[in-house]
Amino acid sequence: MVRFKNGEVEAFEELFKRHFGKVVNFAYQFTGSQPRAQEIAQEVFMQVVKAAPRYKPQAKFTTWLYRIATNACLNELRRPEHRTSRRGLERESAEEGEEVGETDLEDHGTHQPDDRLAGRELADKIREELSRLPGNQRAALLLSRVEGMSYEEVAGTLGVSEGAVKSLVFRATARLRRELAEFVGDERD
Amino acid sequence: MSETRGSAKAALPFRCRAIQRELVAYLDGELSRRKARRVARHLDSCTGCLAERDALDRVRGMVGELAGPSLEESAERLALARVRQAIGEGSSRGALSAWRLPALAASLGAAMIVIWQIQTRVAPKPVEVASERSSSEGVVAQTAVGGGKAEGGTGRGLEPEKGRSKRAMGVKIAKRGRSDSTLSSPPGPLYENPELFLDLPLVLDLEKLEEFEAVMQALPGSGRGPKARGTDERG
Repeated sequence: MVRFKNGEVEAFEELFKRHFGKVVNFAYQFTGSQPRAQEIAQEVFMQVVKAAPRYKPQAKFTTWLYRIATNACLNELRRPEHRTSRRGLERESAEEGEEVGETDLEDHGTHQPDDRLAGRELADKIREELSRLPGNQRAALLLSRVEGMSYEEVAGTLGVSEGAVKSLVFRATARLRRELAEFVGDERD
Repeated sequence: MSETRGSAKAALPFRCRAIQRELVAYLDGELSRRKARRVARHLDSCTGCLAERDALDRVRGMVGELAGPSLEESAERLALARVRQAIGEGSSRGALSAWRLPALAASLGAAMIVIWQIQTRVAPKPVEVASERSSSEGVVAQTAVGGGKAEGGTGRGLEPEKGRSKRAMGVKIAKRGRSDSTLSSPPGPLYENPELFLDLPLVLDLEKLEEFEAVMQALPGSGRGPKARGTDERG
């Protein structure tokens, strides 16, 4: 990033190739829509270009990048059309058996078709529950679980304390655990 | 369901509730050693919390294993091309904006200079006025002390000089009179030369009179020359 800031355009292409896929993935898990996720990732990298002169290499580049990405995703959630259109379209395409360019849960090639169907159902359920989480809880959980960030890095990305991240991740996980009780088993019921 | 959950939670001992709040951070390896040991010790002896830990761990695993979209290379290339285009536009815009601030500062400075120059031309120059005053006062003093003859020989020869000094003094008095409306006593020169009082109405409108005179001179066949003016002034 420092090289790009100093005028090396090739350095930006390196950054783009290294991080674009990850940002798309993050935005996809956040919004549940692949086309929108690609648009968001593109917007994120445009913002990176615009903000490059102001970039200060105090924190990790990924922290800065995911801060921009998280803000873009949170802005996306505020769009009114997002809530109504996204789920319906994705469901329809899945039901029609279209190629949506994804597998649901990681398929390592050992599962039977029934298992895959169950996996898809479970993945749909997880995404549905993820989409119901408040934005900050969702961001904290995805940054921690999907992007593999430490709480400290998540805190830096979201601009909150580590204690707040701990609380956000716990609340998000506990809520998913309640809503997905039929899949994970509930010893207490 | 929520009632069941609520009652199940309420039924949990306080210690278990406190431990379960730490379980996600424990699984994420984000607890301090001391806290992690405490949680581990509790899990060794509490089957309920152990089951909860396993359930939370499964949820963590499910979220972590959610597959991402399979991104086509063409989509990535297209996105990169768009961003590259934005970089190009951004750099040209950046170059413009880099010039914008100095240009603005320069134009502002030029405007300030122009305004200052206009003001200095329009406003009366205090130095010149002071010199005019001092010269006129000097002439008045000379005429007062020398009585005219010592200066210029004949009285006639002194007339224009005297007239000029009177005129200058008159202008000075007129200016003072106009600027200081609360004049309680006559100014010093007027006090010394009270005969100037006679000419005061004349010198107050001296500029108008001079203008009138110039117009009259410009008229064809008026027959009013400098000599005639001198006569008028004397008369």
